[in-house]
Amino acid sequence: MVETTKEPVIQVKDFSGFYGEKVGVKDITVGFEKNKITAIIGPSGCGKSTLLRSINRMNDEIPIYKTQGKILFEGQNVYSKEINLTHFRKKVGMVFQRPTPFPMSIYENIAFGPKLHGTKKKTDLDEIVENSLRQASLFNEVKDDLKKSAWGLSGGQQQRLCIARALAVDPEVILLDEPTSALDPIATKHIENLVEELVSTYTIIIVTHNLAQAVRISDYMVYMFQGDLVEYGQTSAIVKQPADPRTEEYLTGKVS
Amino acid sequence: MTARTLKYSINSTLINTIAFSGIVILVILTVFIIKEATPALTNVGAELFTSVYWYPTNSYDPEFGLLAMLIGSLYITGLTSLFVLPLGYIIAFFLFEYASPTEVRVIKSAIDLLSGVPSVIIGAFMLVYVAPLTFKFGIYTPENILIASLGLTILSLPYTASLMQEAMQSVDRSLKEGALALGSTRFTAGFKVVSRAAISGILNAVILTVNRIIGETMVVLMVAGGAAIIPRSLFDPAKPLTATIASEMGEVAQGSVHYSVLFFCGLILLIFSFLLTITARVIITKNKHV
Repeated sequence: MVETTKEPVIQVKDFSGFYGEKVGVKDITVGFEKNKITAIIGPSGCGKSTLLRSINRMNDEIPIYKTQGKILFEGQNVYSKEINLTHFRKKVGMVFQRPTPFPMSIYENIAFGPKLHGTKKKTDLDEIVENSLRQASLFNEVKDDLKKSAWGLSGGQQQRLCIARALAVDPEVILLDEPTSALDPIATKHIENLVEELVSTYTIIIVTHNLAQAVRISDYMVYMFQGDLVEYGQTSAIVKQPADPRTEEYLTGKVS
Repeated sequence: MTARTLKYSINSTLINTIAFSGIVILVILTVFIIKEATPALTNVGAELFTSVYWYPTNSYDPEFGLLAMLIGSLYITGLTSLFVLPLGYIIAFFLFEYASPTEVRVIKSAIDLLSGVPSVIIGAFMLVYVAPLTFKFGIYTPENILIASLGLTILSLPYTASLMQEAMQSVDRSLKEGALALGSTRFTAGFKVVSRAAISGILNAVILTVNRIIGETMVVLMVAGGAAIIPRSLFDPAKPLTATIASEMGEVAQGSVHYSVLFFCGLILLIFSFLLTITARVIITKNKHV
């Protein structure tokens, strides 16, 4: 375990998640540092997506999913009754495995979130749309097509649109759930560069099954195996000298 | 020829024959209806559409005005659609967005059972239990447009709701999650994102429903009242085209003008159905990539 002096943005405490009887993740305790990229890695079915989707309570969508323990964001348990999901999810954005552009224009896609949270003035929305698209380095490619359907964009562009859409509501944390697994290598490179730029402003947690990607972009790394958190630490340290034999097996390709 | 290619050619011949015979039957049916309906146009002409008088069996001066029936059909279809389409969407929306898996199971099986109820049963139910209630409100006839529309609503609601629900269900779950992840409520996610993505399926459900209502016969035959007048209110009786065909086809002299006019009623219904289907196709292809 790496000791850190700063208070983590998201603190997971003794957290377990169950799909009915089946354990998704168990007894996870980990903190996610501000303005860092933390990669959650591990073999298929290890619970990495479950952990990520538990942070913004997206797994609530699965009726049989039950949780124990706490996940704290700004000192408040996100599973407490008092939490306002709308406000909370505004601060913790998410980008999914497959791009999920809404069936509307590029402009409307970006403006959807701000409108939801009360931005009404056209000039404000115009500004947010442009800034978000610029931040996601998509603006120059689409600036003449803002009124066109977002479904006409390429896969990589759609994913950057989804990142721009998440940025448009001014979040603090961005959760990325295998954001490049449906993309070609060039589009993947694009997203990786983007994520590395965004980390100066946002805290980023990324689930990936691409170990090389995790090593390339992350500051911290969480290795999970069969629902357990096996190892957490600075990426460079873990890659150099994994503390747990299970991590080593994964890093050396014996488990995938 | 090997056994495999033989099997393949037998299979494909069989499938082609069956598919082809379906088309042939459809063509024969259409040609038959047009052929039987044509004398109505040549003998009666424009009066079919302009006259409200329907006295087909008057031996001195028969009148074959279809206007009242046409308006009756459209009135009942419009009113029923007004009931069924919003209700169906609300049910579909509830099932998709709010219902727990158990609720979905229970409601879906209820819907499936209800959609299996024969229309004659619904007609009888309306006739015996619901229609008499109208007297309490001082309505002069228990068989009227409103009662017929309510009967048709019961008949088509399960169909509409389940078509719309399937349309919403077929939208990729990630789209809804994308909206939720931005902080939208379930309602907004379902209404603004999922419904929009499912729009072609929902519109298709709308058109299939309207198509079904306009062609429905038994309920309107039993409770619409069967008076060939232009309805002036919800509580007036009507005689839709379908009911006209069903009630008179059995007694008409084959080859007479009356006979031909009844086929012309059928042709009108066929044209409606055709237009609605074409509209559905156009909408679906247009909305493939919103």
